[in-house]
Amino acid sequence: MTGNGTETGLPGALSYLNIEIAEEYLEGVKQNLQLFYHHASIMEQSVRTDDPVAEYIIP
Amino acid sequence: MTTPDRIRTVHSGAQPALAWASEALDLARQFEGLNSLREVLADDAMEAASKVDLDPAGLPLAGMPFVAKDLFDIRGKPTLAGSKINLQHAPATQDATLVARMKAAGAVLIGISNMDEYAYGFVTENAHYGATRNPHDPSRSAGGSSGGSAAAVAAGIVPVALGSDTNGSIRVPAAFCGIYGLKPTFGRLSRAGSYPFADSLDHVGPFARTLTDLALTYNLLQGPDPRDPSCTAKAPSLVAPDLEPSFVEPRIGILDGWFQQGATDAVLESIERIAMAFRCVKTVSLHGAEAARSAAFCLTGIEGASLHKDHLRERAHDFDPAVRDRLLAGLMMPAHLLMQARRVRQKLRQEAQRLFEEVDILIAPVTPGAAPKIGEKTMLVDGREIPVRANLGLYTQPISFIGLPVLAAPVCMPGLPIGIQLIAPGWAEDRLFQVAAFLEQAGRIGAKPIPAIKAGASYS
Repeated sequence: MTGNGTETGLPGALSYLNIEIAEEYLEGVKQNLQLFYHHASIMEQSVRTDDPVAEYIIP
Repeated sequence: MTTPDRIRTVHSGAQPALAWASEALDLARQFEGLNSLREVLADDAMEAASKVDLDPAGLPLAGMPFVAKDLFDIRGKPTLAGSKINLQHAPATQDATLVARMKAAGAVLIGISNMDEYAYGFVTENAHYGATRNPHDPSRSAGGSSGGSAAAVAAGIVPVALGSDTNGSIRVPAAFCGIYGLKPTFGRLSRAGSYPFADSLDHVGPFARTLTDLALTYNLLQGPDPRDPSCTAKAPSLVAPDLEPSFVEPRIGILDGWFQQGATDAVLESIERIAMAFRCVKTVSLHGAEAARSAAFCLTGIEGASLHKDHLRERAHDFDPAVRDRLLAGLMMPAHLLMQARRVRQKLRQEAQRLFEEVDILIAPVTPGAAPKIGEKTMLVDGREIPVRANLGLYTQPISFIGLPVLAAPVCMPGLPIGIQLIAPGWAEDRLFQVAAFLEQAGRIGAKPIPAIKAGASYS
């Protein structure tokens, strides 16, 4: 899977997951992947990988 | 007549439960065009009401009709969760805990309400079962994913409904339909027998048109449940819908920054109106809210996709396309992001704890604007066109991400319904009800009147 997961990497990732979907679905999946990566980017700017992890919510 | 008064007439025998169920079923038929109910349970409801009438004494909700979102187990029926795929599931062998508790209290289930497929959406536009229409403007969305429950309450079909909220799915439809919705603290109410979506984010709770009905129902839904390990062992904390004599005006924090970014003028005005009701009020910032919203967005996709992996592999074509594409994308998110989301959650939790040293209640809008038109794909926020379905939870997602209790309340304003979030520290739902009672007495919040919908209208 490529870094942005939107081009040649997408069929590869689906194949790895053993998921066969119609070609026509790919565009929608790509758009959603882009949305997820957009949010992942925002999220990652706010934390470091050695910050503590909340295992449970427990407000 | 208020719901408690009506319950008293069932107790006294003056008006039997059977008559109440019959009225609710008539209303459900009249307002069929709203598509709030996926299935009306007429025979079961009449049978249940007859049983209540045999011995109504001691039943706190004797005869009160209610509906449950399509993701709660109903004994004898497959739990569809708005899907076509689950039609092949075996019928539930017992009711979900919340449904069972309602029935044990004498409430009568009259229908199963429509929702976004697998609760993944904010609009209740379901590819298999149609869109639920907003009773206040049938060309508009009822919100989602518990839109059927909210619309049924707003239209006056039932006084109370059950829903679920993973990212805002009780709060958004409550706001759009002009009624109350309660998303309690994570773990407060049992999720046993409710079809999951994203395990670390899923909450369940009630809708109602009055604070009294909301409190009455919420009090009876509480309690430990051995069927749900995530449900608290704490004893029920009963809430009062009226101001207690000991009530002291709370310190209020109006959330700014992320929680006002992109809001329409009407939404900003609603917050202003609410703020003016209090003497001790200040503006505060929940730092990290945007990152938390993004983390909740990712976490939902990852957890939801994991749940549906087998169905995505075997029956991708049977999903609602809007849901399928998001779940497939979620399935391809790296595990690293799951850990990062948990780190964001820890930071936001600490930030919220810090804020609650300064204030007792936080207030924020539920949505950036009023209900969008059905079928509308994008909305304008801060001059940018963004997808409706994915973004109506901008202000709700950071709060449910850390499990805080929220009471969504309808603001008394002309025009389409607009809602606010009253947010308390964990386990302080009683505080929410007291502040809501104060605002209700001050005439600042209250359900929109039941709209005069043309009976039998198809709205097509």
